[in-house]
Amino acid sequence: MFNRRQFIAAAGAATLARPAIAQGTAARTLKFIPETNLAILDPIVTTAAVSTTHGYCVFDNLFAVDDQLRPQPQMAAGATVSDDGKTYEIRLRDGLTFHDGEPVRARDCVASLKRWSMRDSFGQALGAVVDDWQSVDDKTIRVRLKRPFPQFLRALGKPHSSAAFIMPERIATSDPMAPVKEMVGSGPFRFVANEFVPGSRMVYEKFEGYVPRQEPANWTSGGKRVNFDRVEWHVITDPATAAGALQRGEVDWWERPLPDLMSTLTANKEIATSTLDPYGLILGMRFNHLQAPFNNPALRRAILSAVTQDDYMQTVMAGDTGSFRTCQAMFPCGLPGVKELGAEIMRQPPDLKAAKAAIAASGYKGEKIVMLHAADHPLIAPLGDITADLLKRLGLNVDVQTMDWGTVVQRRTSKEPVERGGWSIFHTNWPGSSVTNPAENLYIRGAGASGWFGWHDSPEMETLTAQWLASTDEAQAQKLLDDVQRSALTTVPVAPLGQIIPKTAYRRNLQGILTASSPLFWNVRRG
Amino acid sequence: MLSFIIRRIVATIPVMAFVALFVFSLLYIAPGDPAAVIAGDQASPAEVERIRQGLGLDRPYLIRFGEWAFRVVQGDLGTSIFTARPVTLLIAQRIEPTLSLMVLTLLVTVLIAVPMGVLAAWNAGTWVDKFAMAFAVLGFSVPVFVVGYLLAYLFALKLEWLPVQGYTPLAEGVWPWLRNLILPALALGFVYIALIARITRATMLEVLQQDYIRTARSKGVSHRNVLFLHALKNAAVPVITVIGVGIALLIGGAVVTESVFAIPGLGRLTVDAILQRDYPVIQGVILMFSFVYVLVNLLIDLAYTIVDPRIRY
Repeated sequence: MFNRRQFIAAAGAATLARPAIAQGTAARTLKFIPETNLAILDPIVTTAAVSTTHGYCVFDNLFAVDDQLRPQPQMAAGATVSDDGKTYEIRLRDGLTFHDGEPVRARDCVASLKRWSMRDSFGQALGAVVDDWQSVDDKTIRVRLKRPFPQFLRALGKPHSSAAFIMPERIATSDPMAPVKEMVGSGPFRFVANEFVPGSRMVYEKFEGYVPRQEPANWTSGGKRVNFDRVEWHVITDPATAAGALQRGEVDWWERPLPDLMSTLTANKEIATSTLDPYGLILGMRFNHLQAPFNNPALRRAILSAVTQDDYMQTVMAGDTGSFRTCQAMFPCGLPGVKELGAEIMRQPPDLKAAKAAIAASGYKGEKIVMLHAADHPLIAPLGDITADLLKRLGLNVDVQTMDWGTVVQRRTSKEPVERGGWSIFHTNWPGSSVTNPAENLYIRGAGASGWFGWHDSPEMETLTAQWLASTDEAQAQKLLDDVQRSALTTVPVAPLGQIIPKTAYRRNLQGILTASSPLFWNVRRG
Repeated sequence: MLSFIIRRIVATIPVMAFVALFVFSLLYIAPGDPAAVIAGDQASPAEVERIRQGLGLDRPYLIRFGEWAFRVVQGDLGTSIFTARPVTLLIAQRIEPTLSLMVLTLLVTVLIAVPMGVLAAWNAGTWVDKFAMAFAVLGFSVPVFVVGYLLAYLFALKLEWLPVQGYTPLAEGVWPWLRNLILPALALGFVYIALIARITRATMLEVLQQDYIRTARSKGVSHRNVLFLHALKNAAVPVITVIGVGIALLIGGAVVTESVFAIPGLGRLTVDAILQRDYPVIQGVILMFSFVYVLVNLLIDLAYTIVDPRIRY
């Protein structure tokens, strides 16, 4: 409990805690506006992108990825695998220290990986084949598998949405379904807890004990060389205010400006913009597979054939054609091995007459379609508007229910029919780098009632995913990836609505911002 | 007087109990699920359910309310679901910016609105009166966020006199503190100035028709003394009442103003908590605002005795 004296002390601390930053110190401070409020500090318990960004400040990974999304050693010096492919040994590199001064030991890594494997989808796939996680000594981790898992290093190095961050054992042994209460990692920045004002300000200080790798920084891998003493996150929820703050130089970097404001920002000579993540965000329309009418795959296919991705992306990105691309695939376009196999079914421009005929042939009888429309989310709200218009033009009986995103995430848990509070469609987006393979791509998985909201049930998809995970041959893996796509394009668990590549904006004197799936604060310097 | 104060404070207990029950019940039936927000977009329903169970959100209404109410009467408003920090700590962190904004707004409002209302009444029907009332209509008509954007555009972006956003604690100096609050206080005060100017004018017009005002004038008392010593003092009771009632207006306006100017105050804490469905924080902040509102009304009642000696408790 928090008593009266502590309350007064906290109020005083809130007043006094913010240090007066001298001019020189200000130059060594990077001020950043995150995409959204950092509501949850634990980057394992949540898949929220902003928590992953925070995770990269505070924590480090055994493996990370380069710009081809190939796993590279990060905290690891290297890894070996036994001839039968069932035992991996990872050796930690020298100089790894947690922010509390304790060395990073193999048992910290084992505890962290165990917790991660209970929470993350790729981790769960790995966890299912792990026979034993062992710390052989302080520097060596041994993982014994029940059967070969060729994607082992790729899983450990996954860059986004619950990446496998390493925490001290005492923290990592906590419940994976509850956020950890302590922010101690071994990453390049130390989280300054006593300056944390939830919903407003997060402060990170350079961790002097961090030993960067020698390789140049490349996506989330390579040497994490920090050029600022301090990084401050300022949560500015109002886009116009954030734009003003960047224009005035009150902040240095705004992660994701509202597309409507980009022209204002680019007109300012002091501001530069660039692409942070080339895989961007995939926009999607999710169907409820349990309830009529979208428990009918023929109807879902008819809708997919009527989608014009450009309509969605033009609206979301305020007409900035350089910031989106058509992607008629179930995986992010631009990734090695991803083919646009949906081009056949998603012909452009779509034939609405044929789509209407397909809807009639599907047996649709005018059942009500409830669309959950998140009006408060700038990148999701326009998707609902376009879909509502499309469904009406196709002659479907659509009921648009407008609400905030917080209500959508609760309403979508309902498996009831629409008459009892259920739903038929909602929209969302997901980072391209979080769905790079069949195991990670929850949106097309077919786990049924235990799967993602919408409960797509496809034993074929689960079998193909398991085969892809076990595949050791590159050509076979590619064929399985294509088969996964073909299966998804037949059952249509989700309708892909395009791939947007939002830009980031920063003061022109900032240099060295890395291309990656999250904003990263190493390598950045003031020119 | 003392017994009156004690009676009023005791009377707040059932009010607060009702507010507590109402807020808790409202949040219970409102849509939304903090477990789903914590889990993130890519969590499975089973994971969301496990988080919900971990947070105790699957337990019956009466048990949850009983536990929360038991803690509240001990002064413990609970712990944030998201940050695991005590709600009282979160409120303590945010109280200074909001208090600063409200006090400064109140000060600016009274300094502008009361003289404006007095002058408008004194010059009723003239251009001074028409100007003041036109301003009042504008104040009522333009939303606080529009005023905020216009002020920020002009004084921060174009003229570069003041910062666009943020808050500097008073401990870092009066001017740094003030320069961050000038624009928000003006934006928030805009509607409040209109309200109080109109009430002051209406009340003053009534008072200026009274016999004792005519007597004072016929005795040769100066205009200024007639206005500010004789008339205003008698017109003060309704004006003070409106200022008190307007505190609720300020609290509501602070939510918007703090968002527009990125001030880390209680308004933004409330909005964030609502968007995330952080129930203990929402409940704690609303309880606190209710208590403040009740307290302000008590202070207003006490202020009546200062401006009107006929009022005794």
